[in-house]
Parts: sequence; structure tokens; C-alpha cells
Amino acid sequence: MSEQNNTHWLDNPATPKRLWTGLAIVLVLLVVGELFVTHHHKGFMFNFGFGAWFGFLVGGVSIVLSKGWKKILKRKDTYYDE
Amino acid sequence: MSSLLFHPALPILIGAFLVLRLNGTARSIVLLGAPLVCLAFVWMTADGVILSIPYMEWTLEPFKADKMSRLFATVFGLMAFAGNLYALKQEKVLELFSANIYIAFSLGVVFAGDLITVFVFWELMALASSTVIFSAGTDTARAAGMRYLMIHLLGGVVLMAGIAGEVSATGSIAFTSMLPDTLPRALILAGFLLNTGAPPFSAWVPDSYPEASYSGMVFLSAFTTKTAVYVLARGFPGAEILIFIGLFMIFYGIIYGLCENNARKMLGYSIVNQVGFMVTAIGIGSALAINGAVAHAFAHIIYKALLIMATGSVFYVTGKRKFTEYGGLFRTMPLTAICCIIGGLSISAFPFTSGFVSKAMTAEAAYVGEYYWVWYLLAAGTAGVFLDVGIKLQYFVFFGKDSGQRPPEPPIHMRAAMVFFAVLCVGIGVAPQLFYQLLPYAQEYEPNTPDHIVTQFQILLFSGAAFFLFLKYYGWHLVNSLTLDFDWFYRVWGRKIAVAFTQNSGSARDSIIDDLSKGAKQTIDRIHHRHGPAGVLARTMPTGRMVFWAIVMLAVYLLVDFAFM
Repeated sequence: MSEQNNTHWLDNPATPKRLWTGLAIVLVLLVVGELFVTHHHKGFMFNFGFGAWFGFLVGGVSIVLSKGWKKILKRKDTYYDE
Repeated sequence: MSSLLFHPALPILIGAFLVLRLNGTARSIVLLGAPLVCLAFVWMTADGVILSIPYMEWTLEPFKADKMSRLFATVFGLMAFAGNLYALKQEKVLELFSANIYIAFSLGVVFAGDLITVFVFWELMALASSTVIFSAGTDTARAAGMRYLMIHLLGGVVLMAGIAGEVSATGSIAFTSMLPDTLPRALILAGFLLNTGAPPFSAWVPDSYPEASYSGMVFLSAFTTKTAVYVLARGFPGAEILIFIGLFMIFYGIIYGLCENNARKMLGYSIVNQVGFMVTAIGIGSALAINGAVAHAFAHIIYKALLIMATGSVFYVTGKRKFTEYGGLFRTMPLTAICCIIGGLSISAFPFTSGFVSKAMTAEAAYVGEYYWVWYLLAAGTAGVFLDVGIKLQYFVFFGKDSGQRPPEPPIHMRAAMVFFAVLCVGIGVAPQLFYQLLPYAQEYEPNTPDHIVTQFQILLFSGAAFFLFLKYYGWHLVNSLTLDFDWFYRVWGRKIAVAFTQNSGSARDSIIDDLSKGAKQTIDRIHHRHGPAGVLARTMPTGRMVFWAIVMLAVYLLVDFAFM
């Protein structure tokens, strides 16, 4: 059974690179694809490419904030048992 | 009174008691049949007051229905069915009993037309849900259950004070829309908010729910917080303070969720996060926003239960709960992984899922209501949820570094419950207009437009890209730790105050107990002296002495008689 599992396509060493390439293509298509749609609302949030940079920024900021918060308030998981 | 026989809570309540007495197939039939009868009752129920009972100078309305109560009752019925299916082989009968009476009491709140009925069922829910936690039977569950109960009883006291003040001021017990413009109403709002996991008491959700059993947490995730959303949507639509509270909850859930190493606890944080979206929508208060809040509650119950079922299944087959103990489980649990991913996509509002079509209404309401800053924060919150539950949870449980574990899929009834909810998540997302017909207010809104879908995909996938870039270049170091929260104040300072009080008041208490003991002992001694075996009043007397005293009394009687007659 384990031999079968080791041959799973996700375990293939080439898979991560393919996934990165696939993700990059999808991201580019999403930005280019926006050229072909019309926004029903007006405003800064509906400018071209807003979702892309806003999503990336929020992702980065959330990770950094959570790491910082954890650094300040981290305790052993037995903290309340002691 | 006969209309009470058709109250949707009744089949669930009867089912709960039957579960105590039945085993095997009969028990399974009751567990699955009662929610179906409940759902039939929900859809047979007409609008308006169905039952009213005079009580003192008021009229109680324990059974009142409209579109909003029917919507919540429908999803509660669906949740009861799927939850019972998932827990079909749960050996702890106490959990099944308490979970089902908890559902019945939640339905009691949903169909309550007055504040007194709301309060009674509100408190019964707190007791039943605590029992679901206690029934896990572990030391940590007992401790977490006590903390949960204390917080909810505190909330109940605040709510009761508010209701008493409101009734005293207005003379009415009607549960209608209001604003927190007086102290009693502010107290009612605070009592309701406590059950949503609002700040500062948000920690009770991730603290207590994960301590329930693999199936107990599924029930807990659905009812308390969503009943609170229901009463807020009915009682406080448009109370602007809710926008700020809701937004705080959204980011609290994301930041603490990203810090967390316990998968079930992380889902607890994400409950607070999701309820934050609903609370924000209620604060906006327009018809579209209220539709958004209740639609989100409906969708959330389903996808959050699905996520908790999937992580519960992993917990069930591995006995482990931490990300550091998982990894690579997709190999032998592909169905569980797919269901968990569908739940993760739904909670992240991925297009063509239930989360997308429900959350979109709140964002649209913020835009139309010119709350633009709220729109940006809601969009940021959506991206954050995707990092948290859409990626981190899935990655560290099913993919990531292989833990070497090869656990099997859970039993078929657990898989069936997950597939049922996964289908609902996608079905609602693909055909939202059918779902929208259930909403309280009529609306014409189409979420699946090309511009909306492209923007949403951009926000989500670019935020996901940020996560994977961070993972690739910095790594994500998971450690066995906890992150301090507001509950630190009552778990550390509160405990210290209680211990200091106990120690310092000890001598006074001992002295009082000493005095009371001495007093009691003296009293007992006196009684014993008079009435004991050798006491004056209990002593046996010789017959001759009795006769002697009888003759003396008769003689006295004769003398008195002769002297005065």
C-alpha cells in the first residue's frame, strides 16, 4: 500500500515546480481576464488589478501580523496547567 | 394549545428522550427521523402567532413564525439530521441526548415571540450545550465546560437584567426591533453579543468547543452563535456599534487562527471570524445586509459543520488534534480531504460555493450603503479566511510534510454526512436564486457576475500566493504553544483573586463555623438532656407514681369544684 502511495502524483519531485508554474499562469490569466469584464460598480476598489495587489498585500500583512502577535503572546501549551 | 404539538422542537425533544432508552437500529431511526419530522413541521408552520399563553399581566408567545424564523429552523433541522448522522455510532448517550435537547431549545429561541420565552430557552441552551462539552468525559473537557458555563451564566444574568429593565420601562415583553439607546437595551444587546463570541469574551469559543468529542463539536458549532445572530438580526438591525464589533471579530479570528497549532481550536477561532461578518452585516442593517447576515448564518452552519466533521474524522481515526502531528493524510483519506477542501473553499467565499453567494450580499450592502471602508475590511477579511482555513488547515493536515500516518477513512455514516453537506455547499453556490427565495426580504441580486467572480478570484488567489511564497522562503514553524487571549484575565488573575479570597477569608470562615458548631452542639445537648433516653421528659415512670399524681389532680379538681360552685 505504501509503495502505491509513494507513486502518487503529489509525491513526484517535479510536482511542486509544476504547481508553481500553474499558479503563476492562473494569476496572470486572472489579471489579463479582467480586461474582458465590465465592472457594475464604480470606485477605487473596482479599478483594474485592484483584487490582485489588494489580495497579495492582505495575505502578506496577515501573515506578518500573526507572526508578530504570536511572538509577543506565545506561551507553552501547558501554561494554564501549571 | 394543540398547536404546540406541531412545534418543530417537539420531535427533536421527544427523539432526545427516546435515545436514552433505545439501542441499535431503533436508535438510528429516531436520530435520523426526528429531524425530518422537525423539517416537515417547519414547512407546515404558517406565519404569525401560533400559540399565546396569558402569564401574569402579559401574553407569552412561545410559538411565532415568519420567514426569518423558518430559515433558521430549516438550517437547524438540516444540521440536526447531518449531525445525528455523523454521530450515529457515538457511544456516549449523554452527548446525543444533550445535543438533541440543545437543538430543541435553539428552535425554542427561533420561534419565540417574546423576551421571556427567549430568555428561558436561552438559558436552557446554555445548560444543554455545557452538557455536550462535559459528556466528552475528559478532565480538560470538564474544566473547559465549567469555564463555558460560567461565561454563559454571566451572559444570562446580563440578559435577564436587561429584559427586566426593558419590561419595567415599557411594560411590554414583545421581542421586536430596537436600538441600544437605553441601559436595559444595551444590557440585552450585551447578553446577546456574549453568545456570538464578541470581544472581550471571544476566547470561550476556541477554549471550549474543541474539548467536546469528535461529534460534540459539530453540534456546538452550529447553534449557540447562530441563535445569537438570529436574535441580533431580529432585535438590533442597524445598531451601528455592531459594525465595529463585527469587524474586530473578523480580524481577531484570522490573526489567532493563523497563530494556532491545534486544528480544532483554529476552527473555533474561525467561528468567531465568520460570525463577525454576520454581526457587521446586522450593524449595516439594510434589508440586503440582513439578508446577507442570515444567508451567511445558513451557509456557515453547513460549511463550518463540514469542516469540523472533516477535522473531527481526522481526530477520530488518528486521536490527534495538532498540525504538528498531521501531514500527508490525503493519501489514505481522500474523501475527507475533498470534503474539507470544499468546506475551506466555501468559508473563503470561493465563487460557486455557498460562502460566496451569501457573503457577497453583505459586501454589496456595505457598498450600496456607502460604508466603503467596511467594504475594504470585509474584502481583507475574506482574503484572511482563505489563508487560515482555505490553505493553512488543508495544507498542514492533508498535504505538507508527510507524518507517515496512514489512517483509514472514517465510517460510512460519517462520510455520508460530510458528502451531504459538501453537496449543499456547492449546490447553494451554483443555484443561489433558489436559496435566496428563503431569505426574509425580497431582493434582486445576482452574485455570479463575471466582474464579481474575477475580482474575488484575484483577491483569494493572490493572497494564497503570498502564503505559499512565505512558506517557500521563510517556512512556517509550527510549535506546541498557545497564544494568550483575554481569558488570561479570568484564568490567571481571576483564579488568583479566588485563591486569595479563599485563603484570607479562611480564618473568618473557620471562626464562624466554630461558633455555629458550638451553638448547634449546645442546642443538641440541651435537647438530649430533656428528651434523651435519660431525659426528664423521656424517662419512664413507675405506674404507682402515675396513679398518685392522677389522684392528686382529681382531688384538686374536687376541691376547686366544691369551693366555687
